[in-house]
Parts: sequence; C-alpha cells; structure tokens
Amino acid sequence: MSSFFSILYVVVFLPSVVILYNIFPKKYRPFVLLIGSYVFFFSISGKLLLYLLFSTLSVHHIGLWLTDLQAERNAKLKLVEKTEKKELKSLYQTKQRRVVLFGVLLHIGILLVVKYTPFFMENINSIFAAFDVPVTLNIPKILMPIGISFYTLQAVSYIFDVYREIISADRNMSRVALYMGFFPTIMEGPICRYGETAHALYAGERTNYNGLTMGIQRILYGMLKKIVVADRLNILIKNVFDSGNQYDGGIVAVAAICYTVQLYMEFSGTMDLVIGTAQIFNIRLPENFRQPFFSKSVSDFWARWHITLGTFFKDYIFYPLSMSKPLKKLTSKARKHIGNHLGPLVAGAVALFCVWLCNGLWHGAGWNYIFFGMYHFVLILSGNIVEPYAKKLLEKLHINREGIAYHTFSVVRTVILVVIGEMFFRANGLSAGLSMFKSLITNFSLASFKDETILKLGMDIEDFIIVGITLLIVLVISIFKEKDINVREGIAKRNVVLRWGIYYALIIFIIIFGAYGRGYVPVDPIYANF
Amino acid sequence: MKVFKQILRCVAFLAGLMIILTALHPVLAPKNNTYEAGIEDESANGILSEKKNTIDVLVLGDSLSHTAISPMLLYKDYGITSYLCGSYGQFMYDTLRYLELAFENQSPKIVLLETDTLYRKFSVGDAIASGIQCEFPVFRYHDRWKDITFADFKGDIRYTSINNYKGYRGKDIVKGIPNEPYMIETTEVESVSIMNQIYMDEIAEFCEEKGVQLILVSTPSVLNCNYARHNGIQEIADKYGLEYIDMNLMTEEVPIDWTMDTRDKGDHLNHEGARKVTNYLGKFLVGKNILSDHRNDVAYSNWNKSLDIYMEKIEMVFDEKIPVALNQNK
Repeated sequence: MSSFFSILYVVVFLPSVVILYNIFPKKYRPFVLLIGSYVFFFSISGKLLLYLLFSTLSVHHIGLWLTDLQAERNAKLKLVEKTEKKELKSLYQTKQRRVVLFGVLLHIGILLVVKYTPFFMENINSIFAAFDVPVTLNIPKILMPIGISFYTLQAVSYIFDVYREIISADRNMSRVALYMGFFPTIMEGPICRYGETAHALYAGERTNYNGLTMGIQRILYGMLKKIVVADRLNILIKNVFDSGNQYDGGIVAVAAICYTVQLYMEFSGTMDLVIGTAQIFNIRLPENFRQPFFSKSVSDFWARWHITLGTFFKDYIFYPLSMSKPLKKLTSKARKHIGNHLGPLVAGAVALFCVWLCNGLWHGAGWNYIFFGMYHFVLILSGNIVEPYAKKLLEKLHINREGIAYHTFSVVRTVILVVIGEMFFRANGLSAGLSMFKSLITNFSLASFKDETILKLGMDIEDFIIVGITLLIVLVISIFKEKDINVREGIAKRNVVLRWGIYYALIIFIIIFGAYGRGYVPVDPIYANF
Repeated sequence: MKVFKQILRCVAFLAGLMIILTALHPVLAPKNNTYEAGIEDESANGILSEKKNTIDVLVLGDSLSHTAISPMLLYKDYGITSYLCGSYGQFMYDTLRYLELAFENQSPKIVLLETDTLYRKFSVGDAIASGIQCEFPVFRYHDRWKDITFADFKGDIRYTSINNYKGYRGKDIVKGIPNEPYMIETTEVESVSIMNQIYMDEIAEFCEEKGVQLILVSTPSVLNCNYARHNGIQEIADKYGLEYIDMNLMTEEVPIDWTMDTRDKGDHLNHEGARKVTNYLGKFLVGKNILSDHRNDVAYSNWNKSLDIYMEKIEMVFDEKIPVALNQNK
C-alpha cells in the first residue's frame, strides 16, 4: 500500500477492515481498527512502526505522570492551610512543567533528529566550506516513518491538554494507541485533539447505512480531486519545476497556478477520503479545509487551509507565547511608546514569527520552506499593521469593503499571493524559487501560449479541458458549501433514479478521466512527506 | 428486513455499475492492434492479426524473450511458426493474460516461458489491478477518450497490424563484456516469490487443460541469471513436471561470446546472440516431432511474405553491419 488511493487500499484493505470491524462484537471493534492501523503503517514504513509504538508508550506514560501529579496536588491542597495553597500550587506547576518539557522535548527531539539532521549537517558543512575549515561531516541517511510530523503533534497536544487539565490522562493504553495511530489520519492528518476524537474512535459503533453511503460518497469526491486533477497536473508541474529557469514567466505562472491547484486537490482530496473513511466507522473527524480560495486575506486563507495545523500552532505556540510574562511586559512597554494599535503588534509579531518559523520548518527541512514561512509571516504582519490605515483610505476613497468589486479584488489578491508562496514551496530549493520568481517578473510573456509550447509540457488541450471541467464542479460545490448548503445531503434526499444517476456519473467520470495507468505518474501523497 | 433491503440495494447498485462498465468497453476498446488505435503493446498484440490456428509455438516472457528468439529464423530454417508475446518488463500476470489472449484465436502445441519473468516482483495491488483490468478492460483503455470518434460507438474491431518479425525486437548493437563464468555451481536456491508461484500455477493449469506442452526456457543473460536462480527454476520445473532448458549452462550448444553477442553489457542479447539461441531452439523444437514444417504450405504464404520483409530489413541489414534499431515492424 503506497497511499490511500492505491488499489490494494481501496479494493482490499479498507473493505476488509470494514467487514471485520462489523463482524466483531462492539468491545473488540477498537482492536480491529488498531490492528488494521498497525498493518497499514507496517505496510508503508515496515520496522519504523517502532517509532510510533515508542511515542504511544511514552505519551501514555507522560499523561499518567501528569495526572498523578495533579491528583497528588489536589489531595495535598485539601490538607493545607489557605496561605500555603498558592505555594503548593506553584510547586506542583513547576513539577508538571518539567514533565511537559521532558515529554515535548522527547517527541519533538525524535522529529528533529529524524527529519532535520541531514538539513542541519548540510548547513554546517556549508559553513565549514565558507570558512575554509577542512572538515566535512558525513550526512546520515535516516529513514522517516510515515506520518511522524502528524502523530508527533498529536502527542504534543495530548501532553499539553492533560497539563492544562482540558482532558484527563487516559489509563487505557489501547485508546491512546488508536488516537495516535488511527490509519486514515496517520499519513496526512487531520491533526486531531484527544478530547474530540479518542472516545469516538474507541466507541466501536457499528457501521450504519447512512454512514456507509455518505462515507463512500465523500471518498469518491476525494478521488475525483486527486485522480482526475492532481495526478493529471503532475507531469506538467514536474517538467517546469525541474528546470524552472528554462521557461518564460508565462509558463512559470501556469506551473505555479497548477501546483497550487494540485496541492489543494491532493490534500483536500485526501482529507475527503480520510473523513469519508472515518464516517464509515461512525467517527467524525475535524475538517481541514473550508473553501480556502474564497479567502479575502492571507490570514483568512490560513484559517481555512490545513485548519487543524493552524489551530495547533495557535493553541500551543501563539497563545502561550502571547500570554507569557516577557511578551506581556513587552506589549505594555510598546503601548506606551508606539500607541495602542502598533504596541500589541510587537509582541504579536514575536509570537507570529515563531508560529511561521515552525510552520515553515514543519513542512520540510529546507531553506525554501523557511522562506515560505517567513513570506507568510511578513504578509500577515504587514496586513495587521496596515489594516486601520487601509480602512481609513478606503473610507476616504468611498470604496465599499463589503461590495462585490472589493470582495473580488481581495480574493484575487489573496490567490495571487498564495500562488507565489506555493511556488517557492514547490521549487527545488530557494535559489530555484527565486530564479522562477525573477522569470515571472522580468520575463513574463504569452509567447508560449501562442506557439503552443504550453501544450508540449505534459498536458494537451484535452487534459486542460478535463481539469477545467472538474475544477468547475469543485467550484460549484464549494460555492454551495460557502453558503452553508450541503450538496451531499441534498443529493442523498433525491429519488433513487437521480441519486444513482449522479453516483454512476461520478464513478464513470473518475474511471474514464482519471490520470492513471500507462503514461501517468500519480503524485505522491504530498503532505505525507512533511 | 431493513438490513436485508439495504444489502439488496448495495448489490443492485454494484450490479448496475458492472453493467455500465461492461457496456463502456466496446466504445473505449482499441478498434485495431496498432499504437495509433491505442493498443498497449503493438508487437505482442500483433498475434491478434495472425490467421486462426497458424501459430504452433507461443513464446512468453519479458524483454529477455523478445531479444533472444527470432520467430522468422525459426520459420526460415525449420519451418516452425511461432509468435513472441513477450513484452518489456512483463510480469507473470501479463504473461497469463497474453497466454489466454493467444489461445482465443490460436492453438499452439508448445508454449515457451522465458523464466526471467518469474523473478520479476510485483505487489498484491498490482495483481489485483491487473485482474480488474482483465475483467473490465475499460480500466486499461480509459485514456482513449481523447481519440474517440463516432465510429467507436459502433464497436467494430478489426486487427490489421501484421507484425512481420512476429514479436521479435532485436538490435545489432554490440556492447560486450569479458567472457567470464557467471554460472558458478551452488546448492543455494533463489526461490520464486509466492505471487509469481500463484500465477505459475495458473499458467501450468491452463496449459494442461489445453493439452499444450509448457517448457521453461532461460535464455543467456549474465546480469539476470545465476546458479541459485537456475536451482529455483529447476524446483518449479520439478514441481509441475515441466521440461527446463537453461541455455546459460549450454555453452557448447549455445556458444554465446559475451564480447560480441550482447547489446547492453550482458543484460540482453543482440541479434547475433539471438541467432545462436534461435538456432539451438529450432533443433530442439524439431526434435519434439510434434511440429509441422509449414514452409511449403500454401496456407502459410503470408509467412513467406513476412520472411521476405524480415530478410530485407533485418538479416541483410545486420549482416552488412548497418546499425538500425528494430522497432519498426513493417
């Protein structure tokens, strides 16, 4: 099994797990899911399953450690005088913080070693070379278990939530194990919170007809996005990005747009498959996308794109930093010197910088990813800074911010900024990204469209038409979703002829127009590599 | 009762889907066995254009087969009509598919299976995908939607692409290596994977049902053959009671000079190597005494036309050492 879209997964693995899940009595069903999850993990990462098992054991233990400290503290609080309570609380908070620090360092440490060692060592070698130090470090090849970036964040959120007493540590090891390793979420998320999903995962509710049909429907929608669009765009994107400086700005622009579309179709399509799969097991997972291309600003975009990662950074990095004593002090000082608007933004900028540095690094070990993070940091911060001035300017110019023209302008502006960011994200290194950006600005030309060079890069006119039609379908469904109209439920309520007709049409559309088989190279699960 | 109804609804939906997929096949299926018409492997599928029941020997396997055996030489020198349904990187599930395809219109007396394909690993997913494509060919030829015309809806299929080399894809390039022993005797056995054994079972069973003699053949290849593999194939041969010819051990009967007879440093044979293999194979097949000499048979006049083309475009060109690639088959 190489991905959720492999034949083995769709035709053998998933149906087998669904059947076994429903055959077994309720209390054994979570174990069917857990064993299925480990089989899935093992089929992709083999012995690296040990990493997941270790993380599960340690997070389970650290959770219990924290809970025991909390119980001990509570017991002692009942026995001490009021005056001593504060001191006792502080003592136990310090103890708990040490445990949290240990837990977080342990998990993030594993992630850092596995994912970033080659990157750090390459940079050390570059520094040595720059200063003529005759030392070259051997860069080790470290195999990375699938989904480590995702389950590590889940482990960290579990530790923090126990520490903050949002949840109690779970004494049931298998429930923690299922939370950490549930097979649909292991590769590309969504990054779940223990309090929201663990109990549903462990409930063992039987598959019902509605969940089955709605789940399959969602899986098919995901396949439409992934197989028809994302995989079809793959050859063109690879051709242009592999030698980006050979092409004029027109082709670079098309490739950058195609990559942004591909990333969205691949990731959101996978999320449809993941959430649909969970729905079959009667489990509700958090959504990861909310029509991101309807965003009016970059910060709005990131509130709609990879939502669970954004909320993770907000809850576990941005807010704790913003609320920390040093940054609170900084805010009050800055207020005095630069006023009530810019003052809080200074401390906010520090927290925001940390968030986007982590965001860039989380996506990959490379300078282009750090640049990607900083690019968004600058865009969001500058947006926050100019917001009141922009508001005043628009008022003076009598431009209605709620009007359709300004709305359209905002959406288009956001999309352009996002596309440029994604171009750096996909580029083969930072210098390649900068070179493509230079080409985009200084060498923009439509000549490649006139002489049809654009049709010689892996996609012919029919391919573009099919991608266009599919995007139109996705756009219409997205518009309905934006207006809170649930298309899927709407279809499910129709009579059987229309309903089945739509389902058959969707399946046949995917089978005929899917980019699979001879001549196609399916795109690897993009986010699974982060 | 409610659950029964729901199951019935699911079954009805799936049945409807299968009917649609089956109905789509005639529209999307290639209407000819040419690349232009969308066929997957024009050379191997050339057998579809052969006259009914004219092929006596069918050869299956990966590229080691279609670079080592020349059916037209077998015909020229021994009067044996054979066809090579070998294809690049052929997996055992492809081998089974070509075997079944060949028997739709032909009744070979002997099937030669080049054994390199038995060591080509594939996943369960690949096998399932192949099975689905066999049951519903629309999955194999779905991409033809780009070339579809109104004529495709009539569903008329005519296979007109005669392959004059009968599946042979030789080259006269010489990229030699020193003649060094590579079949070092050992008792080690490189076992054939379970997935390949499953397909071997099916192929053996199919041939037995058809009353056809299945023979395992290892053509010479320094890079792909060794004694442990020989032992592995011998085990398979013994298990099914099949004859096994390992030409890598027949240095006298098939005197391959690795400095001259390989086109890619011991991976595949070139045309000179193929001549030596074919010459031995011809004698071996004639020795079976079950094959007729068709050279003077009027019903096989087309073979003589193909032979003329083959001689003109391959043998004569290669003899004069004019380097040409033999991918064009007409």
